[in-house]
Amino acid sequence: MNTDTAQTPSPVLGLYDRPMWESIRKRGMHLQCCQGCGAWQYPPGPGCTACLSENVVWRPVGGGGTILSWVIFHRQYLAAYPAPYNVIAVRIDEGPVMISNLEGDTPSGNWIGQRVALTYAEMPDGAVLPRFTLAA
Amino acid sequence: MNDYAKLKDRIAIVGVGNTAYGNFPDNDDYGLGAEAFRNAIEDCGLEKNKVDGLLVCRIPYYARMGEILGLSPRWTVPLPPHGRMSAMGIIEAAAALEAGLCDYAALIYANIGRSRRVNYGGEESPGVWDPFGFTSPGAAHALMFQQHRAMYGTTTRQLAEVSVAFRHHACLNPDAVMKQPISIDDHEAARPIVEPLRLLDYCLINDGAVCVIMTTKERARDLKKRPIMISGIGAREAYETASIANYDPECWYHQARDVGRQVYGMAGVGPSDIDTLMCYDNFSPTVLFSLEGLGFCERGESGGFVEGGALKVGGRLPTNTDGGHLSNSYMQGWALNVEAVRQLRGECGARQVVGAEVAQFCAITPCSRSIIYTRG
Repeated sequence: MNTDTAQTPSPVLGLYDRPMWESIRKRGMHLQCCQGCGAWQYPPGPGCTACLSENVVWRPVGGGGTILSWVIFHRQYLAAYPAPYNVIAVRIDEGPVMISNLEGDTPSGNWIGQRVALTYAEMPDGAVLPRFTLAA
Repeated sequence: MNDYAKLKDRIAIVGVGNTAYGNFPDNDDYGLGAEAFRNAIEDCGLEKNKVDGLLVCRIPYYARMGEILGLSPRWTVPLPPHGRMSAMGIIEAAAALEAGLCDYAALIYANIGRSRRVNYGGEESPGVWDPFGFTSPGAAHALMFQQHRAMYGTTTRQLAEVSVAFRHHACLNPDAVMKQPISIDDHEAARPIVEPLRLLDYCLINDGAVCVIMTTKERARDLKKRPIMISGIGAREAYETASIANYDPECWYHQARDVGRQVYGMAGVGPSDIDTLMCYDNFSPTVLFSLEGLGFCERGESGGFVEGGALKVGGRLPTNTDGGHLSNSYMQGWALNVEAVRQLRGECGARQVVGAEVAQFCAITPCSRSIIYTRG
């Protein structure tokens, strides 16, 4: 398969995921926030995982985060991802952990603890992904 | 209200069996499972039709397995094909035997992933994070080892000690898939898969099956071999980050601590009493996390702990004496429980830990479990 036009692996589109991916496509990522206890969550679910309240609302995230860890894939598993490429685990400022990729410049040594900012990457097949760049 | 610690020394493993390990395109899950069952029955001398409990793991259909073995049990549990299930299954069977739900339980695990080309990543196992190219359990362990490295200065040469020790054991184990010794330099030179992990940090994928037969202490006396008692059990899940499969930002330290408190408290022993450790090693970093969480060393000090061949037979803590998942066989914890039994029976030949009386199994995963075995 030609990796230039390889299809971006589909996001899970369960009952709770669709609003999140629609907000990403509009380049304004929303996550669920609990009206009861204020906890944010990702991935989306039927209610608040902290207090079980069903009163969760979709709110835009601020876009800031901190790198928890990073890896470099040297093996290709997916057509849209020829190796090498990076994957990062980010604790976003709202609390949840996201898995994503670091775009643009990468730190020369340890990536852990680096501040990052949310950005929206358009993949060759038109899919939009929430990714991160090093914070200015 | 019952106290689970009353299970101490009540339930025994009386029979163990395994198949050869390798690539068997002409066999299947059921054929391998039946062979392991036959070997375990032969090992304990039980009359086959007395088996009235059946637990299967990674077997497509429990009823077909029962049909093939000519069993009509009164207790059946099917478990999914996840690596964390072995001690979960053994503990469930122990509780069922104690409750009288069955008298003799056969636990059968089979894996046909090698000949069927199972990859454990990519399109065959879709996940929440595929859009970002994040796939495979090894990648999650690479994320965690990266953190360990950054936080504690753990090196890949220290990580190599795990792979080198287990390969050494595999070379002493006639059943093991891997037969060539490796060095720390070999580990360092292996091709990177998901950096910072390399090929030799990854477990094998091979076909094979394992069977364990369990019964109560009283019934165990009538069987062929010395029973091996379940003296301690510990359990704790980590579901908070379940959507990032196999990743925990704390490397399951807190769950492992809790498991350690339970298992050592029930057995009445501590880490320094363990003669041999059977440590779930899907990826080599898991062994470091396990050693720290269970208290074999302080948090952050596992890199230093494993140096100098500490995990080899004859070393400070002989670990995975069969070669583990890294070099013996990918039996997802089941073969390690069998190895604990064989060590305590003194059946391990060149890899025998002399005078082994207390053996511990642990799987530090999103469902962490540990079992301490002693001689009955």
